[in-house]
Amino acid sequence: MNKPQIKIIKIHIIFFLLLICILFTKNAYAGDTLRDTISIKLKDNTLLEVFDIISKESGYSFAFSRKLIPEEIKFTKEFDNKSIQDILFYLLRGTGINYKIVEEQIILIKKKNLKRYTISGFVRDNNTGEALFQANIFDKESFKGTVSNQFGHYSLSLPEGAYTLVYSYIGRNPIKKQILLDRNIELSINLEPNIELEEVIILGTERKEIIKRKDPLGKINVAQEKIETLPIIMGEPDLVKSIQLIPGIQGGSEANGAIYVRGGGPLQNLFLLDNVPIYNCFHLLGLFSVFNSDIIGNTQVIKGGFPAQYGGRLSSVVDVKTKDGNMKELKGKISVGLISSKIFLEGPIIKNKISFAIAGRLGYYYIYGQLLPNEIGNDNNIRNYNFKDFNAKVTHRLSENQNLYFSVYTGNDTGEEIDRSRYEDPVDMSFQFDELIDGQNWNNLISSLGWGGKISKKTFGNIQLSTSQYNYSGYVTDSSYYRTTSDTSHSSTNTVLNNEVLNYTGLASIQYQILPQAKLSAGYSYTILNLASKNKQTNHNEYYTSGSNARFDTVFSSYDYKTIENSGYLELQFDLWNSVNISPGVHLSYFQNDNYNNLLIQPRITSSWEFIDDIILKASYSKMGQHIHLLGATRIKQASDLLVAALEKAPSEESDQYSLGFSYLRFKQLGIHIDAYYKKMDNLINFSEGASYFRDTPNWEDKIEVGTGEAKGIELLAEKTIGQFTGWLGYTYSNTTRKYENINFGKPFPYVYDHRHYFNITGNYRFNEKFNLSVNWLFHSGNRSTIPSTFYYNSLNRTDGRMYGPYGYKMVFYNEKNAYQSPAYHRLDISVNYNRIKNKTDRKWTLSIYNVYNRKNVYISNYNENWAHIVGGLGYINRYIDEKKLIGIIPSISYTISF
Amino acid sequence: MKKILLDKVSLIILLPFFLFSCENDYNLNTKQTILECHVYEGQVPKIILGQTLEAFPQYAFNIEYYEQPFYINEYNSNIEISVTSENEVYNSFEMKFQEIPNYFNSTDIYSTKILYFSDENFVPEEGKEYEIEIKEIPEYDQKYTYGFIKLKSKAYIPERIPINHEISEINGSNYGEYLVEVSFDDPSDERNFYFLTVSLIHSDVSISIDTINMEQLWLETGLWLDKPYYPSVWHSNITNRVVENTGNFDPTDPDYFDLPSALNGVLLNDDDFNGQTKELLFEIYEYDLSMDYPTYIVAELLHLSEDYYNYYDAIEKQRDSQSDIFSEPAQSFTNIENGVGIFAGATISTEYIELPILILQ
Repeated sequence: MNKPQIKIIKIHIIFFLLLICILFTKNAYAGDTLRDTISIKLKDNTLLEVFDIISKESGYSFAFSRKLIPEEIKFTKEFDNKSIQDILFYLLRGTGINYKIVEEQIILIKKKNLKRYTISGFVRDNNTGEALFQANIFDKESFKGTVSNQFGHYSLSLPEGAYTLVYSYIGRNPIKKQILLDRNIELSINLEPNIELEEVIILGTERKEIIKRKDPLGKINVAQEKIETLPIIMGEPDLVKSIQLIPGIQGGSEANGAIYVRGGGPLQNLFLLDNVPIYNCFHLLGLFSVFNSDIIGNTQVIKGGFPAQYGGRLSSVVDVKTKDGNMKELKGKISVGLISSKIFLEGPIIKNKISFAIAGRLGYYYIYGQLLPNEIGNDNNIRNYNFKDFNAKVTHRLSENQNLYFSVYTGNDTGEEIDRSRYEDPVDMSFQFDELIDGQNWNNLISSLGWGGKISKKTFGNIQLSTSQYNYSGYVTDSSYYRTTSDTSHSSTNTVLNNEVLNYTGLASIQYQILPQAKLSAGYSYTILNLASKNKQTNHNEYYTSGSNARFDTVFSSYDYKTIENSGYLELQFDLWNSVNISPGVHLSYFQNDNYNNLLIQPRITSSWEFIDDIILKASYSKMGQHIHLLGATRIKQASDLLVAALEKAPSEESDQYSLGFSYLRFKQLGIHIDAYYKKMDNLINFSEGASYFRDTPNWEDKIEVGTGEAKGIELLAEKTIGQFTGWLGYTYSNTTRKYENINFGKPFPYVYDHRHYFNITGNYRFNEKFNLSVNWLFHSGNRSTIPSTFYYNSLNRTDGRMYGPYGYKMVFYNEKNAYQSPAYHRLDISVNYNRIKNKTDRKWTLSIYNVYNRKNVYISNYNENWAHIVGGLGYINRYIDEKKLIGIIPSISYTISF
Repeated sequence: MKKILLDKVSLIILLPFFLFSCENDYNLNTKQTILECHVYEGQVPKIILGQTLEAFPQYAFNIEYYEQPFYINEYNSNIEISVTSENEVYNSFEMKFQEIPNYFNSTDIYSTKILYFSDENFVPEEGKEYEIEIKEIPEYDQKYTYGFIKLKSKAYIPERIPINHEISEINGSNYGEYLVEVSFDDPSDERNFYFLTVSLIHSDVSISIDTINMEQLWLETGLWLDKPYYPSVWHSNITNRVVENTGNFDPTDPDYFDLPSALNGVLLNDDDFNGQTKELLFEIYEYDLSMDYPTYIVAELLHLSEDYYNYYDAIEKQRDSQSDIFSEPAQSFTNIENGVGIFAGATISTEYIELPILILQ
C-alpha cells in the first residue's frame, strides 16, 4: 500500500469518527432534555390522550402523523416522578415508534429498521376444544396474516409494533386481540361458535370468503359451513359439487362426478382425506362425493401455485381434513332424507384428553328411484343404485401442543340393472329366455395414524402412517336359454372389469421458523403403490342333448404393478417487505416400477405483492409430476377406467403451470379475483385411434399414444362475503387441447371437456334466523365429441376387390377430433332451509330441487345411423347424433336434528 | 380520481376477456374433393374423383348413394391432370367409365357407372415416386373457374418382394385339409408394409392356371358378381393360430374363425420381423375344395407404400370402432393435399398353386 492510499484511508477514518461523535452528541442532547420528571396517572387512556396529558404536565408538545399512532391500545398506569424519557420508553415499547426532540417539540417518527417478531399458538373451538384448520389470523390494519394448519397451529411474523389481530373462522365469532409485538409471543385462542341469537350481529361482520387476502395464488378455502350454505343436492350438502362452482374447477357431464381442473384430466386431481389419497371419491353416479359434510372440518383446494409439499398429481389438490371431535361434551346430528340418511356423533372419551367423531351414511336411492314418475325417471335417471359409508376419528391430546389421531373411512357403492325377456312359440314348441345383468360395485377403505405437535418454540412436526385401498368391479352377464323339440341350449357371455389399488404411505414433515421473516417447511414420504387389473370375458355355450360344451376366456387387460415412490420437499416462505411475499420450493420424487425408474425434480414458486393498498398481484410457477395414468375411453368416463402405473412406454406425466393473479379488495363487501393461467402437460396417454381395452392385445401399453396437452384460461371470481346475501359469480374462459402424433393427423384437438365458457352464480340469502334460501345456476359450453362431418363411398373397393370388406367401402371422415360440441349444459338448483331451536336441539327442514327446470343435459353424444327400407334395394339412411341424457329433476326433502 | 381508478381497474379486468374472445374456434369443413387411386406397378392406374357428402344434410334423410357423388361433368372439360416422376410427365388422361351393377339387384336398371381418368402411357415402375396434380383451367375466353381446388399428392412404388410357398397335407386329417405356408424375406433397411391375400379359385368348369386373371377376378369380387368361377372370400386362419389349433379343433374358439381383417387379406407391418423371413400359414378345409375340377390357390403379396398401409389400417380401425363408445374414434387417413382420399403405390408378387381334386374317402 503506498502513502497516498494510507492518507486517504486515514481521512476516511477521521471523517467516520467525527460522524459518530455528531450522532452521539445529538442523542445525548435528546436524552438530557427529557430527563425532567413528571407525575401522571393513566386510566384506560389511548396514546393520543396520554400525549395530551404529558404535554400539559411537561410543556412539551407532540408532533406526529395520525396514521402512526395505534388508536386501540389503552394504558392504565401511574407514573410518579418519572422522567419523560422513561415514560415514553414505556409507552412506545413495541409500537415501532421512535422520537426526536426539536426545541420544545417531541416528534414521533416510525423506526427505520424494525425488528420482526413472531406470534404463534393454536386456534381452537371454545366449546368443543377442536383444532380449527384454516382459521384466519390477520392484522386489522394491514391485513397481513396467516392461516392455521390442520392441528390449529399458526405462526405469524410481523415487524415490531402494536397490532390488533383478528382471529376468525366461519361459523365462529371473530376475536380481536391487541398485541404489542416487541418479542416473540405465544398466544392460543379459543373461538366461540356463532349462536342464533347473535346472528344479526354476526351477519354484518363475518367474512365468508373462499379466497383469502393472503392466500397463495390458486388456493381456495371451503369450510364445512360454507358447503352448507350452497344448494343441497338430494338433501345432502356435497363438497365436490360445491367446488365445481369455483372458477377453474369444472364438472364433466351428468353422471360423471369427476372434476377437471384447468384443462387436466380426472386422475390429475389429488384427493386427500386426512393426508391419505383416495382413488375414487364418488358415490351415486357422481352426484355425491365420499366426503360426508358432517365430519369435514375444512378443505383447501389448490389449482395453481402449488406448495412444495404436494406432489403426485398435475392439476389440483383437494385436501380434506376431518373434525377431531368434541373434547368437552357429546354432540350429534341425525338426518333423514328421501335418498339417504345419516348420523354424526362426537364427544369426549376422556374429557379434554381424548375425543371421537363418527359419521355414517346409508343411501337407498333404489327405493326413491322406483317412485319417480316415468316422465322424470324413464331414461333420464338411474334407478337401481345404492351406497353407504362410514367415517371415524379418535384424537388424543397428548399435551397442550401435541395430538395423536387415528382416522378411518370406508365406503361402498353398488348398482345393478336387470333386464329379462321370454318368448314362447306354441307352433314350433320353442321357448327362449334372455337375461341381461349389468352391475358394478366399488369400495374404498382408508386409514391413518398420525402425530402432530410443537417440537420446539420454532418447530412444528407431523408424522403419519396410512393405507388406502380401492377396489372396483363391474360385470355384464348376458345369458340366454333356448329350448326346442330337438335340443336345449344355454349360452352366456360374462364380462368382468376390475381395478385394484393398494397404497401404503409413511410421511414426516416439519415447519421451522428460521427467522421472523423466513419459515422453512420440509418433508419426506415413502409410498408403496400396487395397481392391478384383470378384465376378461368368458363365453360359455352348452347343448344339453348333444352334450357339446365349450368355454373360453378373452383377457382384455391384465397387469399387476408393484411400485415404490420416495418423495421429499423443501420450501422457504419469505416476507421480504411488508407487501411482498415469496415462497420458493422444490418437490422431488423418485419412482420405481420394475425396470422403470424416474426422478422428477419439481421446482415451485409463489409470490404476492400488494402494490397498492387492497390491490394485490400474485404470480406462481409450478412444475408437477405424477406416476400414474388413467386410461379409459374418451367418449365416456367410467369408473372402470384403468389406473395404470408409469413405465417406459408411458412415462410419468409432467406439467408446467404459469399463473398470474390479481385481487381487487377495495369494495367493502365484494372481493374480485382474476387469475390467468397457462399449463403445458407432457406424457399424457390416450388410446390409439380405433383402440379400446376390449380389443386386440391385453397389453394396454401397446395400444396407446403418448402426447401433450395445453390449457390456458382466465378466471373471474366476484365474491360477496358479508351481509344477508352472500355468494359469488364465477366465470372461466378457457381453451384446452391435446396433441398426439398419431391421432388427428398429429394436429392439436380440443379436449373432451374443453368448456370454452363456464359460468355460475351462487348465492345464499338469509331472510331471518329461521329461513334461508340457496340458489345456484350453472351454465357451460357443451362437451366435445368426435362426430363425422362428411363421408364418402370408397370407389376403390369396386375397382379392386382386394380391399373389399363388409363395411369397408364407406369412409367416414372427421374434420377434427372432438370438433363437435354438444348442446350447452345448464341447470338450476334451489334449496330452502328452515331452522328452529327447540329443547336445546337445532331442527332443520331442507327442501331441495336439483335441476329445477328438468333440463335434459347431454351425457354422451354419439353418431348413429338408421336404415329406412322402402322397396327392393332402395332405402334411405337417417344419420343422426344420438344424444344420451341422464338425470332430470330430482326433488328431495330431509330433516336434521342437531343436539 | 377514485372513479377514474375504478374505470381503469374495470378495463384491466375486462381486457384479457376481450383478447381471449378474439380466438378462432374450430372450423368444420364439410365439403371436400375426393381423389382415389391405387398405383400398382405395371398396371395403368384409374384415377377416380368424387365429392364428400355431408353427414347431416339439411333434410333429415340421406339417400343411400351408389353412384359417384360427384358431378364430374361440371368440371371434366376443364380439369387438367398431370403425373410426374423424375423426368417423365404424363398428361394425356382421358375420362372413362366402368359399369357398376347394384349388388342388391343385378338388373341393369340400378346399374351405374364409375368414372375415372387414365393415361395408357402411365405404367408405374417399382422404386419410383409419382407426383400427381389436378387442377381446373379456365375455359377459353373466360377468366373465372368453377372453384375446383388444386389437389396434389405423391405415391411411392416400393420394390417387389418375391414370395415362396410350401404346401402340406395336415397329418391325421380325414377331411382333405391342407396347410399352405407363404414366406417372404423382409428387407432390413426401413419399415416395410404388406398386404397378403390367399385366394381359392375353383370352378364349375375346367380352367387352367394360365387363364386365371386375378385383376378381373378382384374386380368382379368387388362388384359381387355371380360368375361361373370366382375367388373365394379369404377365409383361412393365419400363422400361429393355425399351429396352435392344429390337432385340437375347437369350433367355438374365437381365434379359429376370427378373420384378422375384413379386407380380403391381411395387412402387415414389419415391426415384429424387420429384416427376417416372415412365414404365414393358411389352412384349407375340405369344404373349400372342388370335387370335380382342380382347385387353385393364388397367393398375392402387395408390398405397400406407407400411405397405402395407413389408409387401409384406418379403414379397419374405423369399422371396428365407429359404433363402439368404448373405442377411440378412428380418423380416415388421407394423403391428398386440399382434399381427401388416397394416392398410393404397391407392387404385387403372385404365386399360383394347384391342389389335387378332392376324393372323399
